Amino acid sequence: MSTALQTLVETSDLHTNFYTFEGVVRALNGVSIVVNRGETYGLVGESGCGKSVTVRSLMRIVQPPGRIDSGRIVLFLNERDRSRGIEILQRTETYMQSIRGSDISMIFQEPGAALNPVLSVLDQVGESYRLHRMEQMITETLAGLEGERTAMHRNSPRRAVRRLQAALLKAERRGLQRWAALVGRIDNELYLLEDRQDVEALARKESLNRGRDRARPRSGLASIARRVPLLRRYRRPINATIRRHVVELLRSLGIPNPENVVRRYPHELSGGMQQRIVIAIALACHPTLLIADEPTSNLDVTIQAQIVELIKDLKRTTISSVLFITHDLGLVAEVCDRVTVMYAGDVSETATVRELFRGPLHPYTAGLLASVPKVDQREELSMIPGAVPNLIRPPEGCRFHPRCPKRMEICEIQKPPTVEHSRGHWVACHLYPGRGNA
Amino acid sequence: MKTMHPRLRELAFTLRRFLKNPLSVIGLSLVVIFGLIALLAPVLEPPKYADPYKIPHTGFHIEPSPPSAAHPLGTMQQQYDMLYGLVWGTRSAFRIGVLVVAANLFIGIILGVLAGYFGGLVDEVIMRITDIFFAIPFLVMAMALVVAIGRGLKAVVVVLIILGWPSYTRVLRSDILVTRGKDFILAARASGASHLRIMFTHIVPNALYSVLILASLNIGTTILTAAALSFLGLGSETGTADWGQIISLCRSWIVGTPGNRFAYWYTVFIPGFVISLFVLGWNLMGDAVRDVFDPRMRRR
Amino acid sequence: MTQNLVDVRELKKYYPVTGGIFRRHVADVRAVDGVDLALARGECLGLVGESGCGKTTLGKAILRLHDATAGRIYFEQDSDKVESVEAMLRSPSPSERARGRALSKGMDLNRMKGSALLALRQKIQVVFQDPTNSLDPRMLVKDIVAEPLVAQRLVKARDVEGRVRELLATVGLTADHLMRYPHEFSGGQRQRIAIARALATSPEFILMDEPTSALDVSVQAQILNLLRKLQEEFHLTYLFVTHHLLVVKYISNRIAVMYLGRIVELGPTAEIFARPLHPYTRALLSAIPVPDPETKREKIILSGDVPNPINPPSGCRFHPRCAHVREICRTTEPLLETANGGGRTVACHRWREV
Repeated sequence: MSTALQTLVETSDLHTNFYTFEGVVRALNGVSIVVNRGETYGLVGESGCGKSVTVRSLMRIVQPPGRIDSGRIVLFLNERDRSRGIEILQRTETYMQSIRGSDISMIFQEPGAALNPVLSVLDQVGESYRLHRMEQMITETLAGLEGERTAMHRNSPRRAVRRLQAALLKAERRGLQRWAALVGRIDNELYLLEDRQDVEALARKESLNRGRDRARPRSGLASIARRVPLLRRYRRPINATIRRHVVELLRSLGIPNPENVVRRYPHELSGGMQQRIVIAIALACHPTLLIADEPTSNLDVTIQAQIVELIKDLKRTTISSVLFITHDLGLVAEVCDRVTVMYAGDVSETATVRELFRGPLHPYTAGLLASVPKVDQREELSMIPGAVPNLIRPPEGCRFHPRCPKRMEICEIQKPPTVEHSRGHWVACHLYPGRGNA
Repeated sequence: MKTMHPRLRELAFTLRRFLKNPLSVIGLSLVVIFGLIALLAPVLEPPKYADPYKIPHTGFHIEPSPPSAAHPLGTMQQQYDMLYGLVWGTRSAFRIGVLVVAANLFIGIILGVLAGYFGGLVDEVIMRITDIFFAIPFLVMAMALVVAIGRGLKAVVVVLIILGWPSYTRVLRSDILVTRGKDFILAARASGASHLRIMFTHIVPNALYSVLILASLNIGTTILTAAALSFLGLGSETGTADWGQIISLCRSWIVGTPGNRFAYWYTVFIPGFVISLFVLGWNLMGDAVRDVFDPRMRRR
Repeated sequence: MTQNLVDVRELKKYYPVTGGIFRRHVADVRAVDGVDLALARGECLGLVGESGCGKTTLGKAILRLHDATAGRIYFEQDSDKVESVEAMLRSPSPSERARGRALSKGMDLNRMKGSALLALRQKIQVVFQDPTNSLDPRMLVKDIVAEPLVAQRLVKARDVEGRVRELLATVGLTADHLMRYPHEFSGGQRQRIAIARALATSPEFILMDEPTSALDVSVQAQILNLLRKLQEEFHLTYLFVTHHLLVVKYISNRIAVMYLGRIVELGPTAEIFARPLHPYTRALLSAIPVPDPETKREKIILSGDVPNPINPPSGCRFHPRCAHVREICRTTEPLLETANGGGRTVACHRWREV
């Protein structure tokens, strides 16, 4: 890889299978992709090509009967210390929960389904702050309370209330900090253990993992107060702080009249607005990587243009990297820097957008590009014959060979290795025998 | 596989699914075993009287006797033979269950189709009638009706038929409403298909599954209700081979003698166990049928 | 004798909104609100617009899959006769209007019933968006394709299977597929089955209701090419409803753009793409993602959403989102007027200036 770009996430030889009644659906057949810091990376393909499964594996949210069977996913969150990659498949569920929605977040195709119909916009966007930024929220609230207290009359009866609030909040923050410290320490030990994988270390790792799953924020007084109806009012100032943040966030996303919108429920909003709320939830904690899974497929063209423009803006200002999944080659051309084309669970080709559209190497990519109607389409559309294969019994060798116009004998026998055909242009096809750098 | 008719192929697929689930196999075997018992009742326990549904009894001694060589499962009050009662009771159970559920299905489907198809006033009237049925406690209503008609097994069956159909009507109606909105119904209309044709070739076959599943689950429940009515003394007359009747004959012996609380365990345990197995069998089968036919589960 | 195959006049479809415990009629969703549209024999008219603009409702009203609230639909009627009837209906004298209504009764598809409607069903067919929903999951392919033939008793029972085989061959399927269920097919093949069914009665007019939206890109191309081939082969007339502008560009001769229940612009495809007149058309065209990273076009990003059709904006319905709005747009509703010749019409006060 080029030196200017730093890897953010890397998957190698990922196999994810779905164990259904009909048989094992081999959804991912050794997928290796690299998302760099600061780029918009596209994942294109038709339905069933595994693009969604890839990102779900990446976030470790594959639903049963799906299972990630083998492969590696490494996340490099720490910019300076490159050696400290996070092995996503080795980590505990608790750890993944702390990453999801905070460092990596995701927006979904169907905003109506991604939002909870019985919670207001404030509750849903605020949830991200509550889960991942509570400490910051408390600190800000405390500072606010302090300011108000000094401004107020010394003997006001409300002063006692404020002092109680402040005390409880401090207790809660201490609890959170202790928990964070504990989790951090265990993480560190786990990391150190990863190098020495002997039996003893493994057993120790197990117990550490279990320990951290049990570790929960605890702060005696505050945890009781949180459940007592009258005392629970101490949380009000935090809610006000969260509300302030949510309104600010919505305003920065160009949502008109955010004070009003936060009180609404999803069904009161239009599809485009719902998608903006979903984006707001994803952006609340300033993720390093934003995964957009067909974010505009169910929206109208004019609304799609709004959302795409918004994502591009955000890419310039807020988020480091975007992983953009779509089946629309037009969108890829508009949004992405680099693209991977997937077919039936295989990576066919990876290149910069310009390269890919100018000189597609893989016959599937070429066919796909040719089958989209162009603005100046005159002649008959060329098409790829046949249909996407059933992944329970995928074709042997190269999975594209039954539909491939340039099929050779070897294609039916052997899965083609991925080779770097030209600089930064990778392709998996027997037409391009390279240095066999699989 | 290739030469099979597609309907057979679908059936084979469904059966394979069905047989892969251990619970459904247990349910099916239970139902089959009970079915065999009912079929072979004359062989297993040759009738002693002209009416085979009369349980033979040796004497009139009131106290039940424990299992012995003459009475493998013991006797009930007044020396009615337990084994004979249970074997022929299985026959009654099937007769009641199948008859009641079939009649319920028949009424329920007709009214459900009417409500779902015509909509408007017809729908409103039928649905309000079902509301009335649901508003009154089932057992209370059943008891009142049985007393009104006159006691006996026949009355129980009639009452269960009268009271059982509303749930089928409701389920079928809502499924018809869902199916009616599908695109293939519009396509059929665009093809020029008549309303009747659309109803019976497209809507009903697609909407019928939940009702059939409900029916298979309801056979067990029906038997329980019939037994409950017999237990309350509203069912068959004393000495009829009917599970409810057996329980009612044994209800005085649930608690044993002061020294030995479980002295008459067999009078309670054996019929109770048999009824539970029967209901369990149907419920397991109903669950399995639902899993197999559920369109969301089907091709995943 | 000149005739338009389909001639739609002042078509309206309102869905009543009821409220309160007494289900009182409180408002109307004006899904289609006064549309005039004519299709010549053998053409493909693309009907584009965003969701909720009424394009699907319009199509279904033409097919009589639901009944329009008002308006006339003439199918295979002589143009002169249609014009004279329409003139009567517009006339100020009530007796003349009544005469017009009586005359139009026999011609208006919207008011046909029973056997007359059934006879027309032969000539009008439809292909829906999602073949998973539009094919009965419990029927075999042969029964699905044969349904129109059987339902209308067009072919003798023993000839049905032969005709079905022929139809399957036309859409690129084989006789092996006869005895299968829809779920055994891929999306593209299912759509082929739906097309075969639509062709069964040898129709003149087929409503294509987003026929490729549910399909993958590579399959979409197959279906589009098939539809083109069939159109030539059987001299079909398509009303092609879609939100995908590049698809419409590829397949249709003319385009009608709808916004909130009204047609805002109508004209030959090439001309509309080359020089859109209505600001909405312009925004719509510029929003298409172009599969070519080299061309970076200036985009017109519309603000806001499509307004609620229960209570459409006064004047020009597009004015709240329009960049060129003037006072007149807020008060007066623009009518479709001929623009630039060549069969182009546009409904905008300011198309000459902007």
